Amino acid sequence: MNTQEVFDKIVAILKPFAKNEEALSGVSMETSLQADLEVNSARLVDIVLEIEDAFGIEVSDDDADQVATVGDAVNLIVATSG
Amino acid sequence: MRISADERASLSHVERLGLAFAGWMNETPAVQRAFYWLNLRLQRRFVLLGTSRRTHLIGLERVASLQPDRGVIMAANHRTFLDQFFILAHLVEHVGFWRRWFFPVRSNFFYDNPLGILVNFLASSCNMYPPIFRPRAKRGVTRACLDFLIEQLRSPETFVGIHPEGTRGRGPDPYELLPAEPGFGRVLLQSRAIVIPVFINGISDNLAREAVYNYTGSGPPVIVAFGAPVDLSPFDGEDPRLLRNQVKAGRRVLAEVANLAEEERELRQRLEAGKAP
Repeated sequence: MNTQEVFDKIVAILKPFAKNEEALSGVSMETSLQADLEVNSARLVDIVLEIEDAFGIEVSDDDADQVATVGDAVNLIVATSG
Repeated sequence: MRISADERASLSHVERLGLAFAGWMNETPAVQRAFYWLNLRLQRRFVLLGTSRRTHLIGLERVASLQPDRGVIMAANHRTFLDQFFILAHLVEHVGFWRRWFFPVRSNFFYDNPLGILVNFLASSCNMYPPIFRPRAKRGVTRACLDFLIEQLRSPETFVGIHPEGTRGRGPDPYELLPAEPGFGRVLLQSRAIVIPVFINGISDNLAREAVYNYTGSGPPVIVAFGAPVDLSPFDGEDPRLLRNQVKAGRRVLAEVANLAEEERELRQRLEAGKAP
């Protein structure tokens, strides 16, 4: 799976969690999950768990802590599944 | 507590001061012992003054019968600032295992505001320690704080009062619980401490009003339900660093707290109907 495919799949996962739909429509690798998409901090865990299921990977809490932007999530998946 | 210079640099001056002071209070044996004595003789009685005559304890024998070979985590629901103090104040009337106690707390106010540092000192002798810093840049310090707790929980003399939900439930329904925080699951799985679920209901943040209720015999009953130690053996051999395992362990404990809520609800109904002493 290439980076673009991972990116598209992550955006689909984020859709139900993002409160700011306008930011979601212009989402990029630099988009912040909390500041831009206004994802509730308590829901970040659910997002990581959904990403684990979708990509068949396991994420440590330390790695999950590093995910602040869409790009961080993409890079984590590419690195973990690579 | 071991915090690197880089991690420490992520804190403000006030936060560094608060952490250093609370660390000195908790990690200097002679100071810790002196304030342990003060907690037992003074602060505990202050809490009991507000609640002792209208308190009902369920399942106390589940805690009293423990013979701990490691530390104990009291995992309680969170409605007021007094929850854990109240639980401990009543427990040490009946159980004498512990020589040190910790109540991990969000850093806001108690560690980033001089007034909060003073309140932590006066109200709990800085037992609201270690702090949990939420900002991403300060998470290295939070890791060190959680590692400190995990280390302390190796001793059977350690009591750690934690709210798995991480924050107070502010909704109208006291029986509705928030999701468990992953950091809680991390402490559970890495420490392998004895975990006692607790459900508490009936007190407010206003200790003066609670004292009046207690004196006049008015006010709602305060009920604390203690559960049996939570079986975490399904996580034997599982990687405690994985977020999924931490979340599952936290949910398991919170499910036990929810079961206790039903025991509490049943007793409260009987008390209100005049069918229980």
